[in-house]
Amino acid sequence: MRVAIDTSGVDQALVVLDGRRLLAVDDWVRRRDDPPVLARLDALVKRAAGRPDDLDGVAAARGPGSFTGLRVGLSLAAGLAYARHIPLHLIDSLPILARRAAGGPATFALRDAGRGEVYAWREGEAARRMPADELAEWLPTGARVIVEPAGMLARWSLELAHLEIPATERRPLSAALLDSAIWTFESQKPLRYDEVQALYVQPAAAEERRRKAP
Amino acid sequence: MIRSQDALHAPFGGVVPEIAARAHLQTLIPVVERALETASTRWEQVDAVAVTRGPGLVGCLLVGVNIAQAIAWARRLPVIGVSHLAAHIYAAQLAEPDLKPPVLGLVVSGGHSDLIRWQADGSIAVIGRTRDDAAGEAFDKGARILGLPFPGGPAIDKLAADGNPKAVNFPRPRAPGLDFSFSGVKTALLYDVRKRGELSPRQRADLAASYQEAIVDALLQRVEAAQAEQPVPTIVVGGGVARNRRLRQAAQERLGSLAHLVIPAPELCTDNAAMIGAAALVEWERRGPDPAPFDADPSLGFS
Ligand SMILES: [Zn+2]
Repeated sequence: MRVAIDTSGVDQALVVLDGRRLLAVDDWVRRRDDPPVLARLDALVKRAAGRPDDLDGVAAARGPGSFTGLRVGLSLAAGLAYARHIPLHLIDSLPILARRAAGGPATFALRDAGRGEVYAWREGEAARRMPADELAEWLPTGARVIVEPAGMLARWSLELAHLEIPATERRPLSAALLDSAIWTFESQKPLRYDEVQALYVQPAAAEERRRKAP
Repeated sequence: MIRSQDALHAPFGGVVPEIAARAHLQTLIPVVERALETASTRWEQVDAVAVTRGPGLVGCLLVGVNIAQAIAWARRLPVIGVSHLAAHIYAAQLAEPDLKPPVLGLVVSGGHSDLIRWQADGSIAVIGRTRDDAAGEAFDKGARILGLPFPGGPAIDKLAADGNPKAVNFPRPRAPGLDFSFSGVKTALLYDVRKRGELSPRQRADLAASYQEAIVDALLQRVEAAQAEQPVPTIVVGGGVARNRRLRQAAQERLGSLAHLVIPAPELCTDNAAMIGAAALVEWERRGPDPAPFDADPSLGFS
């Protein structure tokens, strides 16, 4: 039994799987008074008729995304993996988001980074952070773009709005997470516990200031 | 097992929350592993897990709370979340296992200056708090004014040893009741340093000693007042600032005759996990383990 966790965005999900077989999923939207993610995991594993002792692998989304959400997801994953001495994997968040597109992954994924900025990913490249008003230059005509939160592209640029894959053609996050987890468990090398780190696409503000200081 | 991040934050002149949370994620499990190794203990021999639920930096608390509960869940162990502040008082039990409330306690650290009563029923009531800076903050800011490195407390402690504490009579706080206030003395130091311009080593040491004396005096005044109001058999002084040598000495002189005084060893005053273990034992006896998963609480008080 393996577990995959994605708490990096507004939509969050847990998946319990056995090999390629799906045992149970939980999809939810992040809210302030959410129950702890571990309480959801406990309920989900019970629903999958499993026990903590059955765990033999764990994966978590590593961002870019919410500071709080990432810390919860990565800490849980690291704790589970360490406690049971099982393989630990981290999965980039934006390729997971891309897999939410029905009928094949999107080639571009965007996530709101706040303050007019966007976490942006395109197939074959690393995620980056850019001002939303540079999207028009960066997105080619005819791009298939998936965006979180859904509908956000129109807020950033009305001219680009038509590139966004509509909400009706999106799968739940758990479906994308399941695909990503299966691929990761089957083809990627596990990490050591002290390699657990969120994906930062820019340094802390204080580091930035220090670098710029004379 | 203590892993300090001071060196990581020193270039920034203070703790940077994002860097702290990042380092936590990478170092916490290796630290747990080394602690078990050092204690020649296997997980099979562990009966329960204790963790700080708050207060503190949210990013750091999230990492601790989630890793601890994930380990406990995966190993089917009970878990108990405790207050970091209360733990500074309960740390005294590591020195004196028979220590029992009622206790009058002073917690002084970089984030807190709290006067509390640990009552006979096990609860903790805050009877005095700071109106502005915490004592540790006052030391840090004072150190910066004097051009000393971060963390400021130990730097002032060291420099003050060569200075005259009576050289400058800095104002004592004027907060009402049992509350503290350190902004006045900090401002007084700032003006004094500005007025003098270039400082000789002698002057710098005198200023450090006088500044430290003002803070220590202010802290102990309040403890004495609380003890006069409602005497208890035991007084505990804890928290990172309780490492300060002048505070330890003056507390002994002034409080030692009023009650049985317990100041944990310096290494148990600095933030550490042994005190979280001590807190877990006290709390466990009172309320048992936490029945369900819980979140970090950055603004948690003493319970
Ligand atoms: Zn502390």
